[in-house]
Amino acid sequence: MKSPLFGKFEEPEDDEHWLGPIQRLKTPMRRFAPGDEVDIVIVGVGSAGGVLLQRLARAGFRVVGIEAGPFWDTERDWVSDEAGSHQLYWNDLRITGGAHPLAFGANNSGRGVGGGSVHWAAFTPRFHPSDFRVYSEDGVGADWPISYQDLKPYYELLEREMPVAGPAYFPWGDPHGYPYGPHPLGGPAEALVKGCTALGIPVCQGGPVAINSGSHGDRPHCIYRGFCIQGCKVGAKQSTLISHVPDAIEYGAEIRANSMVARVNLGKDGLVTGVTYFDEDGHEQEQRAKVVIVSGYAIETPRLLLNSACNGFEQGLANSSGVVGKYLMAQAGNVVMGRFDDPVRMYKYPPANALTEEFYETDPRRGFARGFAIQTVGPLPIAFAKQMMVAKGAWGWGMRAVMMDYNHWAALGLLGEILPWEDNRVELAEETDRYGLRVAKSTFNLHDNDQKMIAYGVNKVEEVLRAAGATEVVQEPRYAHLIGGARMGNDPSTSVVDGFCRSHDIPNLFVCDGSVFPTQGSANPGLTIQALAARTADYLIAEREAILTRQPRSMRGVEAGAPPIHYDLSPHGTSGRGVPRLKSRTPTPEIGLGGLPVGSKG
Amino acid sequence: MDNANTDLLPRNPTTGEVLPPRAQPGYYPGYSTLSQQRFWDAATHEVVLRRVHQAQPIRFFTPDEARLMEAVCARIIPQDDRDEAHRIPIVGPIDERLASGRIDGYRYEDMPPDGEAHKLGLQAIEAIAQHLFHTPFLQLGAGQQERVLKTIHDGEPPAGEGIWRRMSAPRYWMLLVQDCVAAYYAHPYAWDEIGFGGPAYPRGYMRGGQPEPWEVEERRYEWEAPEWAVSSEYEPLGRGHETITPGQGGSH
Amino acid sequence: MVNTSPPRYTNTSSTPALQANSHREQSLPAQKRTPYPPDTPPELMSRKRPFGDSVLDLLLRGLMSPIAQRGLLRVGGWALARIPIVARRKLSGVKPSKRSSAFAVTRWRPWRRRTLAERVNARVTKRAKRFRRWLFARLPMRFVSEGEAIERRIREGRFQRSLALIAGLSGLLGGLEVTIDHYKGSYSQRIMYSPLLISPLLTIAGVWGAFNRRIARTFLPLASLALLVDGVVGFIFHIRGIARKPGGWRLPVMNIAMGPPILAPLLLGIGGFLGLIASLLRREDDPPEADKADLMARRPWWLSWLPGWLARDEERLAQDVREGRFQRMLAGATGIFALLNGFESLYSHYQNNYAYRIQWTPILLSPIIAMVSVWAIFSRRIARLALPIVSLLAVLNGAIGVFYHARGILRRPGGLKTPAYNLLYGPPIFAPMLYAATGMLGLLASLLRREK
Ligand SMILES: Cc1cc2nc3c(=O)[nH]c(=O)nc-3n(C[C@H](O)[C@H](O)[C@H](O)COP(=O)(O)OP(=O)(O)OC[C@H]3O[C@@H](n4cnc5c(N)ncnc54)[C@H](O)[C@@H]3O)c2cc1C
Ligand code: SF4
Repeated sequence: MKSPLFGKFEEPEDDEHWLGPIQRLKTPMRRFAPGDEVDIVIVGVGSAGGVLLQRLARAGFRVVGIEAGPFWDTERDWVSDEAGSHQLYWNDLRITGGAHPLAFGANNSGRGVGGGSVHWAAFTPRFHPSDFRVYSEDGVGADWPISYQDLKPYYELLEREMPVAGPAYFPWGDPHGYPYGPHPLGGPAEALVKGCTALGIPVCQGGPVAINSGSHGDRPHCIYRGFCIQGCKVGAKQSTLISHVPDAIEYGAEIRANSMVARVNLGKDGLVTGVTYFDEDGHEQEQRAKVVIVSGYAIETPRLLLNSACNGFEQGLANSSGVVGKYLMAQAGNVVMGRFDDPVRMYKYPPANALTEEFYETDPRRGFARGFAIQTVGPLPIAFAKQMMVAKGAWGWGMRAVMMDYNHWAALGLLGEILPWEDNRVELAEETDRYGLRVAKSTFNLHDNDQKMIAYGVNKVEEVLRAAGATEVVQEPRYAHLIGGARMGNDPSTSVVDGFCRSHDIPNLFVCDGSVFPTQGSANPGLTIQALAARTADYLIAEREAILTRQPRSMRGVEAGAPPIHYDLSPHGTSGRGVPRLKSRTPTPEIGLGGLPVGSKG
Repeated sequence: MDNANTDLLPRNPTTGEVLPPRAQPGYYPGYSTLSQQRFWDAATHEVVLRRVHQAQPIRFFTPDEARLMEAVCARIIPQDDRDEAHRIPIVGPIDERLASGRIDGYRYEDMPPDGEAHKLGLQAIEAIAQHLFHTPFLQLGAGQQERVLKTIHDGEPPAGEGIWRRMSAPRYWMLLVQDCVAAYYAHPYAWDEIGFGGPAYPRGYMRGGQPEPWEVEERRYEWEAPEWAVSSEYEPLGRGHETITPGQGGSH
Repeated sequence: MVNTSPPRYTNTSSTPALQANSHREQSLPAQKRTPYPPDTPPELMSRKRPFGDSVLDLLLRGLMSPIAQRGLLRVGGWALARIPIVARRKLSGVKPSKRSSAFAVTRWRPWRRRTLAERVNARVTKRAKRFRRWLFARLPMRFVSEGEAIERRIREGRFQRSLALIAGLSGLLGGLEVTIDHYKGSYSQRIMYSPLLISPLLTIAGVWGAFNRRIARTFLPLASLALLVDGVVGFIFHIRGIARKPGGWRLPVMNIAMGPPILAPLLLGIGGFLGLIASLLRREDDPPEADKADLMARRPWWLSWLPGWLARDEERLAQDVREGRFQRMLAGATGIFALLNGFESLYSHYQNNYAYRIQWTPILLSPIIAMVSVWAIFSRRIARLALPIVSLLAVLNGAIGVFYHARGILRRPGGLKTPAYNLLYGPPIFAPMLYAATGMLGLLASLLRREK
């Protein structure tokens, strides 16, 4: 066929807003009057922000999400092209330093409604129960103020809402099954499976990924085009833009896109009063709110808090502990590439395709604490060329030659847990951005344990590739997934927020995104970020009284136990789908925090 | 200078014969992503075709710098095996990026802004050329040009200390190479060369390692870089590149 | 009319059939009459009759055959279905002239030089008969007599129990396949569970019906019908599913290959179809004779639901089936299923780029089976000779397919160490079995008698 049957493909009408080929934004968005005080304002409608917005709107709060980037129309704004997808990432200046500087932009954060979930690869493993007790178990890192049991029901909820495709039995951590069936395997995944089975390493095929393996309402089945990281125009890969935001808007949430929040404002009574932001036209505006939730991710959240320094909080808002910006983490994301004699064509199939978590937990014999996972990645040509530049030192004719072999290479990624260190941090640089706000400066150093882990892990991945039949194996060091910068904890002197993501210092200021994680595990953080957001929303809903009557100080603390779980706040079309599956063995929490029984299920 | 021209071309390693320039080098003769453009969605179509058909005027570099940059990029991504009509512009897109101030979202603390780094880098390259061969870079033979660049690749530039005090050589090297490959491998001609599928929406894929109906099987041929080429040997980047991650998308 | 125990190989309900036949003969023009004595069983008669109906005649007979009528009734309704009948009446009212080729060719002219086709045919028939004799002489006596008994039962439509079992089995296979396939589609809609619930019903009905006469007449057709309906519903949903893929029907090749398998729901209907037929048959242990009263008593229950005119047709059909006279219908069904199967293997093997040459075989074989089956609707000889051969090939091909698909599963990365996943995404192990089932259908058809 030389051209599509019946002529050109459908294109969006003028008044349509497409969220994938079938889904449309149905309802016009509610607009609060300028100067109106709303109940809750959310800074950043990303992974966490999108879920918060949807939950809170459904629960009847008056919510506004303020997002620095655009409100994407997937058909008009996104392209099926590697270089053309530049605008999906947070490309404003950040300064990076330290002995092992982090790369940002395409490597780390998103911008625009949906945030990082627009360009994530959508690997969605859960954290292991041990991830929440790293300090007690291994004497390194930190403990979480919450346990796996607290998050588990939200994992289950979000896995259905996204929905997550994966095997019926996932053996690691707390074993469980997935609501959607697994995906077929692309080239790199086949290499991983071949290598692992040859070495006797258990491997999980075709998931867990938040990519539809079956149509999900108006979101089609994946078409295996491999452009996940460039934004899934198909709408098969979950982003909060297409899974939660439409529902939020239907229930009366407002999103102000292209609006950059400059600072969070503090009132005289020690409570925050709202935020100041630059609107689409660059004018400074104020949005008053009874509660402010900052969901700007690991760099922008600390930056905003530091930029909001004011009387009483000279070091940065909610930073009496001095921990804001500290304990920044990234996962070791070394890409190991193997050349195979048979064509692999790794541009096809989602890059997130198969993984093994066999090396996730601490093994004393390995000589370092914590562990790593091995996952598939599927770099497209430009990314692959850059990787080859580092991995083989390729340039000139050598670059041309190795790139002509692009279709013979398979790439696997290490995903290793780098521990939280105080000297890895976000601060403010002297430079300012186009709004006149000081930009973030990060400092990142690997410590001994991290380096041992990376060396061991890379070795393991290379072994797997060789066992799969690779004739040449090379690797490129890299980091993935930012975490930390406003960590949660029970002790106000060493943490920024409590177990409900509420700041210790200011009772109506919340931080809810990847920056609150005290440790990061070797699992991709996205699912946990969204699950945590759903839990935070449940807390806010439970404290509705206190919020609406402006008495945030009377909101219950963590000692009051976990809030009731709302099973009825999922977006439309969540129930009645999915395969029969294994519910994990560990029981859902009977006893919440502080040993108190949990309230009834909402 | 006829000989010089054939000097630039890759050869058949067994016979030693010069391989003439082709419209489409690579192992996928007859494969064309552009021929599939009717299966692309409108937005992608526009972006890719603009890349192919619109030559940008140079705005950021001065004419002298642009000439030097052309020569440098011609060694970073040599295109002598392509015929004139099928060469891929590299300096154009780099200039366009720098002129419009588009960055990758970060800057190393020991690096000046990207535009400045590129300008400084060109000065340094010129200085190294003078140091090694007492000749301007533009007048050097391709082999000598490669040797000039190789010193930066190795992280041991023999000249331009003043410049290297202001920026790190390996980081500049990676900036330069990244920009070049980003321009080259964003072009449909390069996709045809390496057998990459190009845009894939609304039509996706159905076969894993096998070619799709509109793709072609690989047909390899023997070739090797010209004799003078030092870039055909793979050598690790200089000065502990392990600690320097360029970082790019395309991974988890 | 009471039958005296008839000899082997003769029509059990021969008397009424003969009567009907002779009645038709009388209304036909004189030239059409055969040189046989009037009491020759029609089968014998036609077996020896030279192969040489005119195309037009064949076509008309085909259109008037019950299978075609059923099809037309369902698709086009009453009026369409009546057209050939009216046409027949009209035609038979016309005084035949010698120039009318439609009748001229069939006139018995012993001096006429037989056409090449006729001669080949006669040779083949002779050979086949000789082979059969040769084979029977060598096979153990038990085999031969068993085989003959089975053949007789099939000819007489007394194989309800076996067919019910087979229908149950195909329900099971189809159910397993759809379980796997819908799992791949994640059961993202509730309706995707429906074949999962219904095909086990057919399995139960089939097995139970094999032991219980009542079940075979009540529950079995019900379950079969449900599966057939579900197949059609599934077909519609699968068409919609393809339309809702990116690019929809504008990318038919890609989206048929990668979307919901468009014909699979209809293929699932094979089980339902077999079940329906089984419900109409007589049981193996039924006495060979059946009188009219018995016939009326066994009138399928669902006939009373249908409007009178339709019921009449259905009744005739039902009676044909219970007497084992539905060769044409089954041949037609074989053809349809072969085509469906062929198309399925076409696009699923296409997805694999025909990596192995053997992948072409089902694709090439299917149109041949379809052709032969359609031809068999018109020609008894083809039904007796060619149909079993191609059907056997289909069964063989299915078996080879099972082997290769199993090998493919084992050769996947991980092989037997990840059996569940590889069963899921390896070559579909049940698809070639369905292909073989089509062949079985053809074999069965070849053993039946033709409609009256
Ligand atoms: C290439 C890539 C692949 C990835 N793959 C995976 C994966 O497979 N699995 C996984 O779990 N994770 C993956 N991730 C990580 C994942 O995307 C992030 O961890 C996650 O999206 C973070 O969610 P968040 O809510 O904390 O922040 P984000 O989703 O980044 O949301 C923050 C939002 O806030 C906005 N914002 C920030 N500051 C302001 C401000 N001042 N004013 C207004 N708005 C503001 C931003 O524009 C952004 O939209 C990947 C990341 C990358 C880069
Ligand atoms: S591979 Fe699937 S999930 Fe990824 S972009 Fe393509 S359709 Fe979307």
